[in-house]
Amino acid sequence: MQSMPVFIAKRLLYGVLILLVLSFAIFSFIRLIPGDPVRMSLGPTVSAEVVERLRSELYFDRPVPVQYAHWLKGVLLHGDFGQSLYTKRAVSADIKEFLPRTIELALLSAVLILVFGILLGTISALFRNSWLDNTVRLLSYLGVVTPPYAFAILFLLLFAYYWRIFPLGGMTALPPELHTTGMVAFDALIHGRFDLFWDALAHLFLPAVSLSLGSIAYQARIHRSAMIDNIGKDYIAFAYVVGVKRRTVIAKHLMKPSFIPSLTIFGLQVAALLGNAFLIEVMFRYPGFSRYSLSVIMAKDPYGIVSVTLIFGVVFAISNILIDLGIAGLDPRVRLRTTE
Amino acid sequence: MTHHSIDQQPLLDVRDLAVSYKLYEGVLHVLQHMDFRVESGERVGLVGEAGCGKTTLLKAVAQILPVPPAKIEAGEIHFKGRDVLDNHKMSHRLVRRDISMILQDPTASLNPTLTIRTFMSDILKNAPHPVSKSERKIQMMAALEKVSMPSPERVLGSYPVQLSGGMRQRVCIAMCLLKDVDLLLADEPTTSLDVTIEKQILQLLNVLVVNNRKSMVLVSHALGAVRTMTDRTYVMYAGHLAESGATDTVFDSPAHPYTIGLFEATPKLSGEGVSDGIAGEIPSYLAPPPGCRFAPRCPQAMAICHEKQPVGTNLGNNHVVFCWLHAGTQEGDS
Amino acid sequence: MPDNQNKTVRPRWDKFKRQWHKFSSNRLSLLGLIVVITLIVLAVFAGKIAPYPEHAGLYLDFQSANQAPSLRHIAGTDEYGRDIFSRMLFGLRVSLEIGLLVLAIGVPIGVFLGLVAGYMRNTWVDTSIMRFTDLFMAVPPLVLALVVVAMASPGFFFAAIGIAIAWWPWYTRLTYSLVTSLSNEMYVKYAELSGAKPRHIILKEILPNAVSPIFTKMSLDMGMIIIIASSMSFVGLGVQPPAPSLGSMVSNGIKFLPEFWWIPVFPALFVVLIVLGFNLVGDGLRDVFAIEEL
Repeated sequence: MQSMPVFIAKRLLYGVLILLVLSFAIFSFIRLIPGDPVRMSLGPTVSAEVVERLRSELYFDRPVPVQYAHWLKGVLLHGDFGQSLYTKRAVSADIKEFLPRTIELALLSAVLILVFGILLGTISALFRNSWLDNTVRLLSYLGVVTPPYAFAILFLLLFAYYWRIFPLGGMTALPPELHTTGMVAFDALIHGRFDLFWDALAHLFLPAVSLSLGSIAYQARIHRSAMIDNIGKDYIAFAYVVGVKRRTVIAKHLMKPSFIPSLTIFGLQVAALLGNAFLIEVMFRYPGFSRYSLSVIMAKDPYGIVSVTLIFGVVFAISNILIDLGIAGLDPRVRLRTTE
Repeated sequence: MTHHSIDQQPLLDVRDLAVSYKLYEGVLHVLQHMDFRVESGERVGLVGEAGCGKTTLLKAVAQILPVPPAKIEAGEIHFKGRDVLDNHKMSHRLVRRDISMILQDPTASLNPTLTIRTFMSDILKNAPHPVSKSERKIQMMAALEKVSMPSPERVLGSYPVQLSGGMRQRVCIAMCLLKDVDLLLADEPTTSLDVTIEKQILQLLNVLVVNNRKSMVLVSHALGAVRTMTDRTYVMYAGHLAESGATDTVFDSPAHPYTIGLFEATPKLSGEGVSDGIAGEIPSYLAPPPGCRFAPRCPQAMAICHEKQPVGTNLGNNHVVFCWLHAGTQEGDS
Repeated sequence: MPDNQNKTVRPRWDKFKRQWHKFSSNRLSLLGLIVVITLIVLAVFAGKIAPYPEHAGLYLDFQSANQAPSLRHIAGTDEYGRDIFSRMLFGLRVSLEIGLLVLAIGVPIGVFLGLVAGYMRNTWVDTSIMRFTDLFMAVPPLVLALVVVAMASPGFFFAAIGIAIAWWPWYTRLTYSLVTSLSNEMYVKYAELSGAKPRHIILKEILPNAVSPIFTKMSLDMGMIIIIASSMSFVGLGVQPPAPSLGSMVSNGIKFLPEFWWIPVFPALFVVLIVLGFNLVGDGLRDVFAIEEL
């Protein structure tokens, strides 16, 4: 049987390889775009020598593979992602500032999706065709077809404008001495600053809910249908007939296999999360990584774009590996496939 | 030899049971006017071709019918004197405690995500007298040993996917024995297994049932096994009862044309070998024929067979046949 | 339950009639179909139906700016005095066009690669195609689409290309798993044994049976693609102004909350309606074809 560490190592290696190829491809294409990004960044008034000097410093005068290799070396050895021609500072500094905030938002959303999606799906399946089930199904359907930005508008209107429960946007600023991970609410919590913690949570709430509502609905639908499929399976009937308590059958025998398709879908949800974060961060003026990425993309900032793509790829790959591990943990057939 | 007195009530008494399935295309009347009885300590056989409703009957008794789309339209099921269909919690508990069922496909019966140990301890945890963890382990090992399972320790820690088909079926049987049931329903316990293992499993079942004086219902295509392992036999066709009686009687002197055809279709070592089978196929359950359901295929069908459903005729010694051919030869009540 | 109660061999037309009957017996699916057909009609005849078709382009009339919904302007007017309802109709046309374009590009590529990889299973062809697919699935689809658009130039065409580039891998995966499972069917094995050429097998035996899941996925995807396209317009990398697009109408309108709420709300609701229609149809199809993989 293939051991877990080997499994993880293989997946990681493969993921890294893919990302390298992808980033190289993107990098090459960016270089082929007409126009001089350095000149555009410095403006028309600066002299040609200054432009040339900067171009040389940033390796833009070298052939693509050389520039790429240099950048890659910087990334792997020093965590140096190059210079952003947009923010005019090291990309790594941008990453350090913005990424944790988006991770925090994404984590909160992911937890909401998993918990509420599975909860609602389970209730729906167990009370099939009751009014409870039908309500959940109706709401789920509406949730699935509504784009996150529509939810964002709705919530802004209701909870920020009319009933001023939540702030309109932005994020709490943490005093620098509290900076540990860069995740605002989390840092505030571990430093015991509950006032800042609640404030941060208030700022996080509407964006997280807007992001996750559609996905909660989708997760609920998938989990519901997984459970309904499994309820009819022979092994559930057999468990009943052979004498397992009804409560145990539902909580263990039914739930465990239902988690497998549910978790599989969750991987796609994470992808959607990372994508939709762009719009939500813009709408709520949340100073996160996606908003930064958007600016960098629109500014056609080469090092920025490549670094951002790489980061997204890494985050996505890590979450996929974690999910796959979860599925393998649940389903022994996956674990044992190598020996059969 | 079984001991059953006429005064004692039967362990299981099914009367006039009707079960239907609601499909998109319409309602399938799968079981109609089913009478079925098992006495204490008796072994009863149930035979008939695929799709005739044997599994539905057993599932109805074990209370594991998928209730939408299935529906019990009419009839009664009495187990140990109690009406099982009365929706009472006590009846439900009675069934769960004293009836066990082996399903056709052992692979589908075992939850792929749980180890055998987990599954078995879940069963034991629901026992009327809960026991400690170590005691549970002893009981699990004992059950596996009863079914002659090699390396029981390893099996306990395994997932179903790691076991062979024969082992899975043994595990299912062992699970059925974990609680002290009175009635064991065995639905084609050997159909998905190799012929070589088939015999072992059947013998195993027989020994377990006889030694522990349990009652059993055996559904099987292996007519030879049914003949040797049962005291009474029911023959079903298309959701109706065709014939029933003591096993020896039914096998030696089958009365219903279907039973006759069925036995003839079975390959025998002596005689002319393999026959041509029975022509035709079972009728549609959506629109069943008004008369005897076997009439369209019956080589001896008469006019009345197509019009009215036959009533039961007692040919003596509780050998009952549902056929117009014998309607005149009553002996006693039907 | 007995097997011979269900299907018997019927000619194609009867099969279609049966499927239509099953589809239309579900009221929700029927509703979805009506919605979709209505939307298509609205989009095609937007020029004739829209009360103020000239508002779809450059138009300024500050006198009529920011008017609440009324009989003259069903959805109100925006900050330039343009009738929102008319713009929504043209935006609908744009959304449907993008959806069709994305599918027209992405589906053939994806299905083709999936067929090839699936049929040449366990060869280097299979492995390299699937690895190539992994490349495009390494980042979330919206991110990839945005990067592609950024490298080209924002606008209708490249937005469609960007989304198509992010979308085709899913069709490859689906087709691959369909081919894999269908290849195990008896009729394919017979075809192989009787010496049929691979191309014949793929086109005549496998593909017809793969059409239903693929078609179902297409209709379910339509909604998702429209959401992504509108998201791209939302951030300014999709359809460029002054051409109307539902996404940019929403994003432009946000700053007018809450006073002139109709400016972003109606386009957003319209997007919901479009996606709802396609999703209902897709779900209906999925029920009819009894597909589990989707």
